[in-house]
Amino acid sequence: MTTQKIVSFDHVSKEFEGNNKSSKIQVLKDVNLSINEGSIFGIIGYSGAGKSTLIRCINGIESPTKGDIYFKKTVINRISNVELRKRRKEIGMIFQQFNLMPSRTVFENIELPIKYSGKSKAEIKQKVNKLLELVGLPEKINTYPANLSGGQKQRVAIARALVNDPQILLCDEATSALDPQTTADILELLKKLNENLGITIIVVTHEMHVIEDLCEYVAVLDKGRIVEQGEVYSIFSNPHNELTKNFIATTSKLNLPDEVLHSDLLALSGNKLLIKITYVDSEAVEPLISYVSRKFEVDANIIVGDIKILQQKPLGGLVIILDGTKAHIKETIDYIKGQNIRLEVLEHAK
Amino acid sequence: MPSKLFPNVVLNYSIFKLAILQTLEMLVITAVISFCISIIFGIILVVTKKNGILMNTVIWNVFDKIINLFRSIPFIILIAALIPLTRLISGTAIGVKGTIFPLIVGIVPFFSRQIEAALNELDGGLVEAGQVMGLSPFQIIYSIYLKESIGSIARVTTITIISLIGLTAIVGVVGGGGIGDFAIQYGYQQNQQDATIACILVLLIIVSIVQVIGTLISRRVEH
Ligand SMILES: Nc1ncnc2c1ncn2[C@@H]1O[C@H](COP(=O)(O)OP(=O)(O)O)[C@@H](O)[C@H]1O
Ligand SMILES: [Mg+2]
Repeated sequence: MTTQKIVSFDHVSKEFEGNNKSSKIQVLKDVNLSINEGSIFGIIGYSGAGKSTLIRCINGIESPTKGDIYFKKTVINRISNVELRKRRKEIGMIFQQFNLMPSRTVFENIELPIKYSGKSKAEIKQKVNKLLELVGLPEKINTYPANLSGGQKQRVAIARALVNDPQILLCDEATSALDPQTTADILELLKKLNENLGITIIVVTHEMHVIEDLCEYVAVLDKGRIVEQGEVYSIFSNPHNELTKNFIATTSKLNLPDEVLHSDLLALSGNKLLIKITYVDSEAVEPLISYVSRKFEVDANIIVGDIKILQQKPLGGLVIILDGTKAHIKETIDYIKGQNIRLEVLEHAK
Repeated sequence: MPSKLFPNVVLNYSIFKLAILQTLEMLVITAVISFCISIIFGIILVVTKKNGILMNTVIWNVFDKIINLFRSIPFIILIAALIPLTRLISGTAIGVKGTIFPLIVGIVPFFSRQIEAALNELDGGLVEAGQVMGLSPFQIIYSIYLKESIGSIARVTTITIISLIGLTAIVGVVGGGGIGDFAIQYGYQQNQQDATIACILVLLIIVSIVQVIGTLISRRVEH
């Protein structure tokens, strides 16, 4: 895998004029990013964080107030309009609302970006057919968008975005209007495109599971500022920022609701201790449980387990109630902490 | 039968027929010319507006202010004010020939606003889609703004032509000819009720035909 940079942000800030001329809204604050060619890069943040503004800087729909955006060697925010339009053909984009042309059939929609390119009719037809095959919708070629489901519309939009053979595909909340199953199908398709075509994919989303299911790298955007970025696995297994932790919590089953934690449901009595242990760098947790319960003579009662495979590595952990003598429990905890496994005590017996 | 119901119209049948033809002539010529002008003005207003694809505050302001100025002048006063210019352009200020210019000046500001509104109705996401695929502003105007707004444009054109029918009746008053002229001369000044009613019926028929055509077009293009 090459590690050539394809897009980078160099101290990018963006402000919009507010409602009255004097007030400025600071939407991006000193953003630095670099995105590897061929990777799938995710940007996550709450609504209003500036995600759309950030991704639209990449194809020059927005231009920064400060800093530069590089697309390979080109500084996107410093080129002429003509040059910019050429670059845009190398950068496809899809949207939450699909943005298909209602008056055009599927074929005419996909054809639109190359309609004025001087390519022959036959060549265009062949290209569109190939793309429809790729996104799995060959039979819809003469259908109007109004007669397509959301997932089908997004597939057509993807085909349209690919018709110029771009090097990058930008996805602005591309699955946010879709149901979970359709979302999974679209993410699957994006992955396939990344693997088969080697296209770099940049997604912005407010849904952590999209990052989890799709991306290799993630940046967390909080009110215009990137507060954390890195490989998805290391961010998920060891988040530092509070916001990142909140996002991760939305995809993990290990976070027991407070009502459960503080209720009598768990029946914490005597020396019992409710703990959470999490994988860090793919240490196996299950053998450890049986090991400590034998070695330190403690009962380890698993309440919840959540293990998933992220970037080919297991990620997740267990919530356990430990029971035994005070001394044994302390030994167990010290041992686990010594194993480079993250341990959190959630609740003591009352 | 018609001679019982519309005795005076039958009496002046050839004049009445001429009046209808004159009205249609004014209508068709003015509609075609002002449609072309208004499409251009409407597009200019939409693309040069704030955050438009060719944002240009100066041009936008010039068009916006001029259109507002002309829309604030009552048509009957506009006709009078335009007489010297009309003579210069058409060679005469009376007859059908003399009405075309003031009709265009009278309807274009309204028409342009209607076209502007129709184009602004378009989902901004579609325009953005055109930008991200690397289309030029001209291609976006042609293949997105206009193509996707045909239905809305047909609707506002219908509304405008119906307003224009009203204006053609007014120009009649200043010797322009047409149905308005006929209604004033025979219906009003000679108090021939049947002439007035016949004029109303003819206008009603023209309006209905325009309405039906407009609806058919906008239905046809919308999927
Ligand atoms: N053209 C604009 N003019 C003024 N404010 C804008 C404009 N575009 C976006 N904003 C503001 O910038 C902030 C970030 O917007 P956006 O990038 O769309 O966020 P996100 O996609 O993360 O929801 C919001 O507060 C929004 O109101
Ligand atoms: Mg957004």
